[in-house]
Amino acid sequence: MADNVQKEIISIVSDVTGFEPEEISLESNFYDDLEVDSIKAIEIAVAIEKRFKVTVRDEEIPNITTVKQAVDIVEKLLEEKDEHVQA
Amino acid sequence: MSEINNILITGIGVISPIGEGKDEYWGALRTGRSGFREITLFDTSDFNVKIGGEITDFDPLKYIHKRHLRVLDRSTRLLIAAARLSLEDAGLTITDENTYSIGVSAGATFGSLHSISQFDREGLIEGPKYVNPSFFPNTVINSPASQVSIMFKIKGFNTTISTGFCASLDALIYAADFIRLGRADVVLVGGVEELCEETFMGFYRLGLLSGSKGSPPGCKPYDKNRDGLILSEAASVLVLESEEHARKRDAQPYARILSYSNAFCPQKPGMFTSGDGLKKAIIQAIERASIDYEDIGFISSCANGGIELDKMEAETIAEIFGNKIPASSIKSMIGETYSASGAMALSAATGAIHLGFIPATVNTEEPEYPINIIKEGIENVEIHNVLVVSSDPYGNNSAVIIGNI
Repeated sequence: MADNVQKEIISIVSDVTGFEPEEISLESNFYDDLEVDSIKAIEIAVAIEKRFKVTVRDEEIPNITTVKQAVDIVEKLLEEKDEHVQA
Repeated sequence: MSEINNILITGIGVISPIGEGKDEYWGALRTGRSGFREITLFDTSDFNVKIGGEITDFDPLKYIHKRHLRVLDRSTRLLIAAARLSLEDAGLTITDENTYSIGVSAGATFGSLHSISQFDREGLIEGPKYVNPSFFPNTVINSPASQVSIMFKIKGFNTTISTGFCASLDALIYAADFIRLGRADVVLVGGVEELCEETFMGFYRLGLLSGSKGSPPGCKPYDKNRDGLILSEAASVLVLESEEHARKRDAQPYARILSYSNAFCPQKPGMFTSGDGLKKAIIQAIERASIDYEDIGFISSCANGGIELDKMEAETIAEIFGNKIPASSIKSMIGETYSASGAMALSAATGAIHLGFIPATVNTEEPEYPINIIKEGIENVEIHNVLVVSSDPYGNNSAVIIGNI
């Protein structure tokens, strides 16, 4: 699951930024390494929300600076969603 | 403050249905090649008219890195490509030192229509929360000019002028004033329009397109049998530069701005604009250039095959010049590129001065008006000055005179 989330997020980031997936790692910084600006940050968030059917809070977006942070947040949101469904 | 005639044209970039880059463009104009073809950009099955001036072989990756390309719409890609060509042609490098004295002034009016429509469609289908924010900047009309500044790191002024047919001549006038007042050394002056279903439908529904009533389409400026325009797309950018700046960097200028003027002539309800505004703009431009009427090598006209516009322009030219001065409309080859048309005409006129030719008005067979319409191109002719004019149905009129070096 974790691998899939990571792969799909890297794929989304690649689509939005134009960097090849091989150029993107968990440590990549959106702003310093991948030329992400405020509009692209929202585009990535919207694409993630659509793909994983989760909601990322707008105020959280500026705090997500690396790919790893994005993966962690999505995994957390997916876990919460699962718990919610099971409950 | 510099004089108007101390402003030079030192670079040309063109992306058009008849060629990419100034050499191809000038070459096509000299051979009278037209750029009309069946439209592939959108489905024309619901229209009687199926042809337009579509640019078919444009590869934006030649001009824009793929990382930046994805979110840029067609208008923006075309203008950036033309800007890159113009900078290369001028041999101008933008640096941290000169960037604040370089500006961008572009004409664009309908360029965002397709992007607005697409953005709206996504919002209606997916919901407002899921619209792609990266496509939002394309929905504003100053996007192409702004993206040019972003792409080339140009930090002087950035302006978009949306006066329809006159937009890019007005953009030149605006830019030349900046240089004349010492607020810029160099300005990238241009215009752009893309061919899209939304604009096409607007012109079609207004009955302005040639062939919309069933006859075979053809752009025939001033012809007795003309029945409308052919909609087209293009971008052109000219590098305008103060003579002092051009000399310092040893630039090779093609032509000189001699003068310009524009005049608004309000349209009366239900009537086409009169020629009073165009007449005023032309006469003022000639007076400001301090030349005689006979010194004009040819008039680059804005006739597009439209019934009323051609009539108004021809009658105005006849009133001012009689049939003495040759008049030619390149729209017979490139079609109506609307806000780009002034920049396309300026680029053509620059080539005419530089290489010594007068382009043909290719499809005109039976001129309706007593003016000197050039039906076949003229070669090996020394052109000292060209009067470039634009008018629109609603009262805008612009005139620019460029001269040899």
